[in-house]
Order: sequence, then C-alpha cells, then structure tokens
Amino acid sequence: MGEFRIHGRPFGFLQRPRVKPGSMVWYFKRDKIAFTSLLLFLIIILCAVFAPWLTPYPNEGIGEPNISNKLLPPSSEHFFGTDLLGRDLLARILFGARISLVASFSIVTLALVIGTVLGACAGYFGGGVDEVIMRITDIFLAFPSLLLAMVIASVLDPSLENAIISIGFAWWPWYTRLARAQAISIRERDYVKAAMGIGVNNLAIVRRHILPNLLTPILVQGTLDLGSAILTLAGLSFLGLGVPAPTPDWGSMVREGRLYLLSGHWWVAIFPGLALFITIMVLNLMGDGIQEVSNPRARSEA
Amino acid sequence: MSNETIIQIEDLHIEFPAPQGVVHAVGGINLEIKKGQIYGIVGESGCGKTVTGKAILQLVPPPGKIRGGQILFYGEDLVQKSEKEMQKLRGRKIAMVFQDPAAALNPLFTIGDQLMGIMIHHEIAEGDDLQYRAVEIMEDLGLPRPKDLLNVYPHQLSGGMQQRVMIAMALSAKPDLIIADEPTSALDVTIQSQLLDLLDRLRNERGITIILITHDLGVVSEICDELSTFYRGRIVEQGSVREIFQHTKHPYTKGLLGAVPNPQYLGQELKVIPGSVPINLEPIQGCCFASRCEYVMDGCRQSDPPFVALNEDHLTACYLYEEGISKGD
Amino acid sequence: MTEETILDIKDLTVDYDTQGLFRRLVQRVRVLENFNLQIHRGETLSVVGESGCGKTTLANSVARFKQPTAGQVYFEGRNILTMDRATFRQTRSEMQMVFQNPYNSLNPRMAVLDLVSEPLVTHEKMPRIELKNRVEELLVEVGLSAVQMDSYPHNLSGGQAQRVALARALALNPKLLLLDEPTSALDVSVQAQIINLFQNLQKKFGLTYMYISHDLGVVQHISDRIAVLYLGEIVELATRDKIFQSPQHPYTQALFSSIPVLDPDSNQERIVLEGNVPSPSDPPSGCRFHPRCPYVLDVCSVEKPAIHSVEEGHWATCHLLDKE
Repeated sequence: MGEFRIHGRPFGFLQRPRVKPGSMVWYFKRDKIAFTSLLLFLIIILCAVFAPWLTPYPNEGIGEPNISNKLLPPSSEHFFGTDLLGRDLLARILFGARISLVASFSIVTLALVIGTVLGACAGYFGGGVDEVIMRITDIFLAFPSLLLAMVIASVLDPSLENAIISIGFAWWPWYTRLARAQAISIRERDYVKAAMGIGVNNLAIVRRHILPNLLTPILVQGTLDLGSAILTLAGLSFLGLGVPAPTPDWGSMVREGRLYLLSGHWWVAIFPGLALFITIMVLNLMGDGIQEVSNPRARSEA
Repeated sequence: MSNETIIQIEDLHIEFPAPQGVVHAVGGINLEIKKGQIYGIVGESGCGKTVTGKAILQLVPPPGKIRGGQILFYGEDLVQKSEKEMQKLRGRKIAMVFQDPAAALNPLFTIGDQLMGIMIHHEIAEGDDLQYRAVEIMEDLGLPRPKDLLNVYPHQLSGGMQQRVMIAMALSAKPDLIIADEPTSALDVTIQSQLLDLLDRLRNERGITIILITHDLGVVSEICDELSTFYRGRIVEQGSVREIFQHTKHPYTKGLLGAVPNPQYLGQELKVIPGSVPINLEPIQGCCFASRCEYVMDGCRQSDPPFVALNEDHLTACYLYEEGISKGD
Repeated sequence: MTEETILDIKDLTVDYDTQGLFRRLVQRVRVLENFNLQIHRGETLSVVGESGCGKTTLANSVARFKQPTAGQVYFEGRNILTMDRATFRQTRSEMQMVFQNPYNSLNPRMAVLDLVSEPLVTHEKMPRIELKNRVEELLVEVGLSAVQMDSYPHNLSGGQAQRVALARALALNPKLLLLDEPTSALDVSVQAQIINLFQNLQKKFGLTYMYISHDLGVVQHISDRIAVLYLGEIVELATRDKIFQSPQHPYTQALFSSIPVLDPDSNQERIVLEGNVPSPSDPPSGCRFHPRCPYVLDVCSVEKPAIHSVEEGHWATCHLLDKE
C-alpha cells in the first residue's frame, strides 16, 4: 500500500505522504531562481554557524577591539578592512550573520505564534471573542509597525532580546488577521463538523483541526517576512534602539560606518550594507518561490 | 446520421510527467465518430476520457503532452495544427461544454456579453444583429425570457440554467461538433432529463455531432448511439450502444454494468470489481484490466490483447474473444 | 426492522437568516417548516429530493450542526434540541454522520490512525496499545487493513477514504447513522463496494440509516422506506416497493421516470418537468409544486394539500387525492 492514486483526485498523484512538502520540493527544484536563492541561503547559514572557524579573528568578530588596526582598508590580511575600533570587518559580518538570522527567525516566530493563536480563536469562536480580539488588533494596526517597534524598544533596555520582542509585538496583528480569515473558512469544512459530531470540545478542535490547516499561508507569509525582519532590526539598530555595541549587528555597523563614508573609509558602512542587501534579497526570493509553489499548480485532469 | 467521418483518432498517446515518473494518461486509442452521432466516451475517474476530449481541441493541460498519434477532423490532423489554426477551429467548428458551469462562465460579464462576445470573435454577426442572434439561440434552446437573460450575471442563475447557457454559448458559432464533458453530473435528475432532451434535439434538428464524456451509463443508454469504454487510458470495448448493453463482452464493461443498482436484482449484493484502479507509471504490460479481471488467463499478462471485431458494430480487446469467437462466455 | 421509533422529528422549522448591518435581519429563508418524520429502529429510510428541498438541512439539524428555529427532535425518546451540552455530547456518540466527500470530511493533516481514534480518545481513556487494536478492528470491519493506519487521506482512493470515514463513524458503536450522499463523489464500481458494505454492516450491527441521496437507483436498491421531499416538504412517504409500484404524487412520478434505465430498447416515457426548482426564499403559494405540475388544478395554487393515506404505510400530499 502507500501507492499514489489518481482515482477521484485530479492531482492526487502529485502529492506524497506527509502532505505537501514532497511535491513542493519537486516544483521548487524546477524554479531556478528560488532554488538558487535557497542555496545562497544555505551558504549564509553555514557562514553564520561556522563563523568562529571561518575567520582568523574570532574575538574581534565578537567585539574585542584592536585599536592599533583602526580603519585599515581592505587587504590580504583583512579582506573587508577594519572598522573604527580596528576589528576585522569580515569577522564582524560573519558574526553579524548569526545575529541577523537568529533575530529574524525569533521575531517572525514570536509574531506568528501570538498572531496565529489569537486569530484562530477569533475566527473559530466568533461572537464576543472575535470582537474583543479584533478590536485590540485594530488598535495595534492603527500604528505604523516600525514606529510601534521603536516605541516599545525605547521603553525597554537596549538588548537583542528586547529588540526581538519589540518587533515581534509590533507585527503579530498581521498574522492575526490572516489566521482569522483562514479559520473562518476552515470552520465550515466537513471535518470540523465531523469533529463536533464526535463531541470533541472546542479547544481540541482549534488545536487539532483549525490550527494545523491554516498553517500553510501563515508559514508562507512568515518566510516572506524574514527579510523584512532583518531590515526592521537593522533599522532599529541604525536608530540606536536595537542591538547595543559591541554585538555585531549589521544595522549598527552601518550606523557606525556612516560617519566615515565621506572621509574615504567607505568599507566600514558598505560591506555590512551589502550583507544586508544580499541576505534580504535571498530571503525574499526564497519566500517568493515558496509562495509560488504552495499555490495549487497546473491542474492535470485524467 | 450520415456516413461521413467527422472525427478519427488513431493511436493517440498522451503523457504527463510527474515526480515519480511519467504517467501514461492515454496509451494508444483508436476511434471513429460519424457526423450526426451522439458518441459516448465512458469510464471512471482517471481513465483518460476527459484528457482525450481536451486533446481533440489541443487543450491538454500542461505539463501533459500528446506524444503520438493523429486526431483527424474531417480528415485533417489536429495534432499537427498550429495554435493559430486551432484558435480558428475552437468555438467555431468544435465547441466544448464543461462539467462545472460556474467555472466556465465569467462571473464579471453578463450572459448577453459573453454570448455576443463569442459571435464577435468568430465573426458570426455584428452590430444590431448580435442581440437578435443571441436571443434567437436562447429561444431555440427553450431558455425562458431570453431578452431578460441577456442582462443577467451567471451567479444569478441556477445550475441547470447555467449549463444551458453554456450550451447556448457553444452553439452560438454554429459548430459541427460539441464535446460535452460530464454535462449532467452536477445537475438534479429532473434538469438532467431536460438537458438530455435538448442534446437529442440538437442532433436531430441541426445535425450536430456530440461527444458525450461521462461515467453515467444510464445517460449513455438514453441518448448515445455508439460508445467506447475507457479503462486506464485504453479503450476496452467499442460499438453501438444496443450491442454493448445487450451483449456486453469485455469483463470491465460487464463489471461497470453490474455495479449499477438494477431493479431486477433487488435484494442481491451489487456486483463488484475487486481492487481499485492502479496508476499507469510505465506502459502497461499485457491487458490493462488483467489485475482485476475474474476471467484472467496466463496470456493476458504477457501481451496486449488486440482489438477484435465481433460483428460490424462491436469491437473489444480481450483474449476471451480472440478472432471473434467467445471462449467461455 | 421494527416498528419502534428511534428518531422522531416533530414540527421542525429551520431558517437561514442573512444578517445585515448591526445584526439586523435582512432575509429569512425558511427551508423547513413544521416538518415531521419518524424513523424506525433498524430500517433504512431514504430522503430523496433535488437541490433546495432541504434534505441536507434536515441532516444538519438532526445532528445539531444547525440550530432549528422551532420543533423537537426525539432520539430514543429524549429531545436532543433541549439537552444541555454535556448530555448531548454523550448522546452524539450514538448518532453519527457520514459526509459526501471523504476528502473534505477527513482532516488532511491527520493520519488514518488519528482520524479513526479521535472518537475513542474523546470519549474514553484508553492505553495506546488498546487504541491501536480497536482502530485495526474497525478498519478490518470496513474492508481496510492495519497497513493503512499511517496513510493520509490524500494517499487513499475515494473509496478507501470513505471507508475510513465510516470506520470513524462506527468507532463509538452508534445506533443511528446519518448518511449524506455518501457515494455521490465516488465512481460507479467503488460505489457498489461501499453500498454492499453499508448493507452488510447494517445487518451485522443492527444499525438504523437515514440515507440522503439524489441517486434514485441506489435508493431503490437499499431502502426500506422512502420520503420524497420538494422545497422543504414531504410530498410522499411509503415503503420502497409501494412507492415504486404506484407513486401517487406527480413529482414522485416525474422523479422516478427520470431514472435512466440501462436498456437502450426501453421506450419508457420520461416525464420532463417544465421550469426549475423555485428558490426556497420565494416559494409558490398553495401546493409548492403547482407551477410545474402536469396535473395542476385550480385549488392547487390556493390551498396546501392535506396528507392523504393512500394505503397502509403510504402517504402523499396532493389535491388529486382529495376526492378519494
């Protein structure tokens, strides 16, 4: 058993056990841009994970200054030059990758979890629960998210954790709306009725039937948001509200480096900026690819 | 019904690439349809009947492709035609009516706009003539208050009405051939009767050839003249409806007929074909039905049984009937 | 089949309301009005009708997926519409529903084992081993095997998926099954297998079926009694044999005559009805069928026909029977 069937299902044969990932991966491979960006993304992850071993200057990467090497241009010893405190820029960027990746995943996860649970409940229960949750969501949505994140960040002590919390708390409302719309359509489905008919209680229905089935568009949105998360964090750091020194964050590095652009020490700001640009682009292209792939594809009928 | 052949399909092969290999949706079929016939293409889901219908119009959905064979329309091979040439034929000479009218009718345009749009596109009429013609077509089909219908949107109509509007659209360019894919499956039984009557009248009054793709044997026995039974992308039995229903030969067709509840055999269990339809990942070795056939013999699995004529209106591909003689019928 | 009533639907009225701004009532569509029907223990009662007749609403109301506006539904003597949630939760396990499309009624993210064990997990506390055994038993009962336990709905064929839905419905040993077009989405040969299965299970477990369908061929094959619905009302109710031998109501006659017959030589006259089924939001006056009835009389558009007993166990609501 475990054979694939066309019987009664127009595109059943394109799907594998464990639901969609099988066929999605297959389509993903055919989309060259998405596949290339996935590879690049893996390279970025590897850089982040193996940062201490990829550079001869691991300590400088973390933050230890070396003033004697202050503001050296790119050379064979320092591929990207050094920053204002003499730290090797390449090392800083590699370690910065860790921050960016960890932060973006944490931000999206935080926003997604809060938003999805609230949205699913609002959509499934309707009535008073829906009203209360949606009005709170509307209040949050009234503010531009960056501004909201800045306000929250300014109240908290500057740290990576707090930066993550600020942005996460500014972003959850979007997921709530998305989850709610999905939940409303899912609750009309027969399998939810069947669960009600069995006597399953409401919370179990939300947990077992509503949540798992609304995840796909939510996860797609999450992937698309990863790039924005890095950008927002960079923005916060640039304004001084994000990650404090000496933690290597690309946004903070750009902030430090901007003072030296005109004096000819271009590398201090440009290389972190490039890192941001490439990473965000890669994440966006990957997100696009995932979005393409998760839409029902060429319907082949037999 | 004349003797002129309007459609002749020869050795058609259609394939679909899939993650696990290539699916052979249609594996070498042959059929001939005469002008003015109502021809039934019968089978269950996954048998290749819908894709065959679409192939005639060269509308096989990608990534599927026609990999061999000919589809002759009045002697011209449609497989060889360019997209431009096909566009001239579609809607004009050959029209298609789909299963789900809600999906085929554009919700943003009124019925009148859609009907007249077709006529403009195929240069059937123009100017003031358009509305008059549109109303005429709908009247002919027995649609109530056609003048009012011109300004109605599809969602305002019931399923049966939508289906009839689709037929009106199919007829607007006066085609020679209509391919109807499960036109009655989504309809109530009483509306289905109306629609079948309509199709019959179209054939009788206007000489339009109709290919009826369906899984409903009852519908086939009502209005079709000839039929082909499809199984796993192959034709297993072919011929006149009377012959096939009264002297069914192929075990699959027998199984299909036996599975339909019959008032004569109330109280008995329905005859069942054991197992289920396997997927065609490689070209099929031997008879396509061998794995489920109750009369299976050794030779069945080795090679494909040839299509044998039992009499002038009945052909079947089964080793039980080699050279036209039945073995252990 | 016995004469004991297991389900008694009394004066059931069900509306679908559309609400506008500020929850104001914009439109009320009365799908069922003062509907009465009794189902006997052990029988198969088929409810037939076309779109808009209210048969699905009937099933949904009995299962309490839709709250009726008025009326009572007595299951084994107790009114399930007035039960509190806790009691009804228990009662629900005795009355299960099988839906039309198994790919919609099975959560696509759950494996067969989880799907079939959900009722067991909800109502009883069982150790995992026992759970697996019970699920295996149920799968075998419906013609599947333990091998499928790890499969997901989309790995299964239509017939297999519907069997899983059936196994789930049987998990709590229900007395009554509400079957809403359970074979419409299946191919003919698969349908035959499933119907044989339904009949065997009914004999084995003494189940009662409320079978909703528009497929009259199947209905003729499996029913003990048949109720014909038109726009929310029962126009005829009788045992299977009686209703097929002598249908009284013109709608029943038209309906039965449109069953395609598998005999190309048969010249059976098909009664083709004019017009379409009217919308439930604007039903015709008097007898709801009068605009399409081939035998319409003057009184039909004015007065609703009474329920006439044609013979023992056979009723029809039609003015043509008034004289008798």
